[in-house]
Amino acid sequence: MIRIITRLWSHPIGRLGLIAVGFNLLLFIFGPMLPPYDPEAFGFTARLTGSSLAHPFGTDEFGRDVLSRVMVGSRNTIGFGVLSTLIGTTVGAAIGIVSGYFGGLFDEIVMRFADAFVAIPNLLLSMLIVIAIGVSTGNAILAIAVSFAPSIARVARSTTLTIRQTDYVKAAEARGDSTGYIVLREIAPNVMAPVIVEGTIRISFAIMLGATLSYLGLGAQPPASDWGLLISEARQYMLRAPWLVAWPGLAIAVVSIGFNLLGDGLRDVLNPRVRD
Amino acid sequence: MTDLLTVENLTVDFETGDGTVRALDNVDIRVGPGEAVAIVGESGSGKSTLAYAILQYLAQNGRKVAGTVRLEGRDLSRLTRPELHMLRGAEMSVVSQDPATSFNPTLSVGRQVEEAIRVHTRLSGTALRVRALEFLRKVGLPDAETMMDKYPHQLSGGEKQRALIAAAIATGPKLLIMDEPTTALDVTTAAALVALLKDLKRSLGVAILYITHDLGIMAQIADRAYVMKQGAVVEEGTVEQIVTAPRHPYTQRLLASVPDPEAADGAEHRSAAGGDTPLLEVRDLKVSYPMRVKSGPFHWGASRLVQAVHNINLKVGRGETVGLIGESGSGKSTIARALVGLNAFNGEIALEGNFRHGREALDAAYRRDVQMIFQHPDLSLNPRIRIAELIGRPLKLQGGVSRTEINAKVAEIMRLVQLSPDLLNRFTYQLSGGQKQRVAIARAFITRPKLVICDEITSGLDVTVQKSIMELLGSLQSQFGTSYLFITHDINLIRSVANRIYTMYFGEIVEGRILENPSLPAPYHPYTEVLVKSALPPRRALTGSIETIKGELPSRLSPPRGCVFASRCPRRIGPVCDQTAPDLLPRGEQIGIRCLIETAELRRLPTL
Amino acid sequence: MSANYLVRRFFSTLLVIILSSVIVFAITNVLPGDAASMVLGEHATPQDLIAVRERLGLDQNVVLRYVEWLGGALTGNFGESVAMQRPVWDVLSVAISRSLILAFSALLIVICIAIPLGVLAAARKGTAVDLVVSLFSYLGIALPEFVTASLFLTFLAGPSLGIFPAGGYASFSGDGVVDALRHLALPALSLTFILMAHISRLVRSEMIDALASDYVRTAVLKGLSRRQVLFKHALRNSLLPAVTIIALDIGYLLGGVLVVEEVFAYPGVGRLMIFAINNRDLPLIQSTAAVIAAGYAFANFGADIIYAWLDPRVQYD
Repeated sequence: MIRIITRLWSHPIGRLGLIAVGFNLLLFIFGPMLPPYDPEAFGFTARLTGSSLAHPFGTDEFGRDVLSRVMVGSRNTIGFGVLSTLIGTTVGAAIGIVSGYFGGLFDEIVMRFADAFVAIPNLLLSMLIVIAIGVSTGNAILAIAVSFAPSIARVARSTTLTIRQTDYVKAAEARGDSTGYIVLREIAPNVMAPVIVEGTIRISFAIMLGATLSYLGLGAQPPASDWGLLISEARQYMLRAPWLVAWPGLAIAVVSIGFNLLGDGLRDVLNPRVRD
Repeated sequence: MTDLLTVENLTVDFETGDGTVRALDNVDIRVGPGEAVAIVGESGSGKSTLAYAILQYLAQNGRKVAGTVRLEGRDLSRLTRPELHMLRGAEMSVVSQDPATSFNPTLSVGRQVEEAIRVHTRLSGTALRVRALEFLRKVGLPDAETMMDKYPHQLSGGEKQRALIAAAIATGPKLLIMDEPTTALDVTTAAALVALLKDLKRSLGVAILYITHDLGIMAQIADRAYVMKQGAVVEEGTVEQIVTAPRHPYTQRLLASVPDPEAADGAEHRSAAGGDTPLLEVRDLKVSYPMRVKSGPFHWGASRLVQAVHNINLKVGRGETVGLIGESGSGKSTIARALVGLNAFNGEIALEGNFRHGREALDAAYRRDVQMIFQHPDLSLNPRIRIAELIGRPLKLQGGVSRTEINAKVAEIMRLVQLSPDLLNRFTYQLSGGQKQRVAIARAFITRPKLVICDEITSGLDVTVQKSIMELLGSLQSQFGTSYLFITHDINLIRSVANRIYTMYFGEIVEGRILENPSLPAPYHPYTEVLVKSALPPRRALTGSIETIKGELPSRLSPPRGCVFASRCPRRIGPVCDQTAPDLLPRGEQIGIRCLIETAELRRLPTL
Repeated sequence: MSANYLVRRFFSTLLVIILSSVIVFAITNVLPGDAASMVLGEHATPQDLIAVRERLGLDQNVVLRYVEWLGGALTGNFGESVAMQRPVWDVLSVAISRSLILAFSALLIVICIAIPLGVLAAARKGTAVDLVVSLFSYLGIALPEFVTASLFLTFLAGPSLGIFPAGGYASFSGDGVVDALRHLALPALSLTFILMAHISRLVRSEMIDALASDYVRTAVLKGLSRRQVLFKHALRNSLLPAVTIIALDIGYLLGGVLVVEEVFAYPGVGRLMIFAINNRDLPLIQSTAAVIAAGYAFANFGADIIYAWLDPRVQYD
């Protein structure tokens, strides 16, 4: 772990990613703790004001401080992205590795269904799942996890197929090693690198999907201050107060870019053969 | 004589993550018109960097620090970019190491050959095609017309390399730079290519700068040679002088490392032949694999069984080294994989007289006693497992061994393979190629197996490293009495160590013989003769001429009815060879020879 | 490329379409939660629930209902929309044509801009040009469509500028080309951001790999100029993986269509889908989702054909 971080630090894009994700972490931990104002406090004297010293991100239609609302919403938004990706990636990777190693009819069926799942756009799939099991943040996390699993499974499977053909797996089979050891020790760690890279980049995608669901009314519900919801609520006032869209939008972009940069850095760093 | 190419004090640095590395250090070389000059060295010697520095084509992180490169007196570093484009491919052409990647896979071969001609001549249309065809024929591709329309993946490695040479010479260059052009090819294909180059040099008068690690090929092709080590030229001279009277200690060590059956200086290791009951006996081994054949709209049920190897009978005595030699496609690795249970097979495998039928019968005891070392340690050692676990795993698997015992045994074997104990907690990507192969050897020996199968284990290594690995195997053998089944394409290497050699061609054993010394007395199979004459060691290469054979391996889908070697055999008797399949019959002192030629006639051949 | 390959790929595309409709059907019918109460909301009376179940055939076996739906769908009968009281196909067919116009405009913009950008960045690797393209693409990847769409709406369609209409649709035949394009412009542009970023990055990295390949070295050392090497050798091979990725990106594009059509009130499949979801119009949800999945599957079918046509190595036998 420490080794990977030091190597990321010496990689130009990886370093930017570390800094940005470090910032995301701080936002996640301290964002809801340190807002300058009560995010729910109505301010009738200063509604829909632009940036000022008192309100750097301006205020909304109820005079609530936008900066405070963005800060408070950060934990939900980032946590949402990380959690849903983590679930989806773990499940997907497990399915992909097992399917790829054992092959046969099971593999054939799993992969045909994965193809079919992938044909339904992630956003649509998660919308369908959410309306079927009920609108809530928890269900939205689950829905996005389910929509991610098939494509992660495909990545994990194709890597597994390559690894299964390598001489080190052949050597393990030749010495009569157990299936458990081969899958868990010989194959899984080698499959994890591309899966982790894919997963890291997908966190930003999950954040955007989650925000979109909230925007469409299928994720977080008012009065939460999820960033997607902030933009959704701002729709009516958009023309008069564009910052209501711009600040949460920028926040989404900054957080997403961080995970994207980290993923790109990891892609280079986690590849044991391509060094320097 | 005015020189064609002169390189003076050429010094090149590379910027890497670990700082600046000097790739070329004050290199001086010259090539006269029509002269063939070899640059010889091991990996990391800078020989390829030199080739590309001459062409003014350095990698992005490379930088010329000092020196000049002159072609007919012109300083190439002073040329403008358009002038350089005019020069490259026209006056100075290059053929690189790997024919598989040197062609653009999405363009036809003809288009890529024509392209080289078009940029430097005013030819177009039919005239252009005629010129391309002319040179494709000149490099020994008689079927040039159809070859033009093929795509690179449809050609064999040898054909691709010839087509690249055609593209390189069709513009009439004065200098042809060859960067390890035969390294990716089989020995017989390589031999034919070297013969072609010698021909072209004579007929076209083109000068050749030949980059190689192979001293035998150097001696074949070059008039003079430069020996490089770590970016510097350490010795220069005629090839005779370098081969017969090397002055620099490095050149001497390099020459001493090249396997040469005739230079048996007593340092060679040959184990004593074993007793009567063989350790391993293989009877009528057959391996088939399904191959898809086009038919029906959905290709369902359209796979056909194709034989990879068949009729394999061989023995390995206790403490013996047995060589299994052949080129790619001969099936030698298929046998190795069957012997360790990686391929399903028909037939019987007996270890110490216990006969086992089929893959399922290879039980835990067998798997402990028979270990395999793979060709590429990069592929056979898991990059995400630490060395201690890699080596200790087979022992742990055996069960009943405590962790401390395992640690002790791992430490002991590390010492035996001469690896520092500091490496135990490292990953293999932190090691050199030779060190990695030592780890693989340690893993194979940790269970004290009776038989170790070595599948081309030195073919990716430099000769000096190869020599040290062979010495290591020898000392382990004398210590533990291990038998080796040594699979290789290098007949010179195996002649100096084996007690027994089986030669394979197209899935069959065509010859089996017992050796007491490196010489191969008659009778022998014509293919064995071809192998020997295709890869002459440096000393022999100075005087002897290489034997070349034409053609390619037969197709697996329509295997020949007669002798498998008939289509390429230089001693072919006649149509009978195509119709009658010979048996592997004992001839003279040999275990068996699969050939229709009379024993008496084979006996008359000279000793190899 | 053999005809066999085409036939085989066609059938596997059909299989994907059918399986994805099974998934859609399963999600909306089998998951916990009763489809009828999903349609009616949480405060429905038991009588209403029974009535809806009967009308939608929910009292029948799920498998039977799916087979019936599939049979209908294959003959162009997708059932009746609950909310609109009209045949689904009538509504859907109109929406499909509008969304296709939108999606193709976006794809065209992406291809025309992203590929040259990627080539430029690779050819000028490590320079300011490369940096700008990279920054732009990171930003593009990180902005969800609803944010870009909202920002476009605010700044380019606002009353102060008013170059573009704030939303809606105008047809090429009925309202004239200019009006149609004005209505198309902002939704199409909003869709391009993520794809543009993604594809220009891909083309850049593929180009960099190709430029470092042995065959490019061979071409350079044959004496070809930089321009010839770039366009005759490197670009061709870099576009191969781009074809596959563009097809996979159709998934993002179709997802984006949902949001962007909603923001701009563009009456296509996406808006229809959101309408159906907001009204819990089960027959409309099922059919629209199935149509979107089919669109994706056919786009990938097309990409495979283009790939096979471009790459002689693919023999498909």
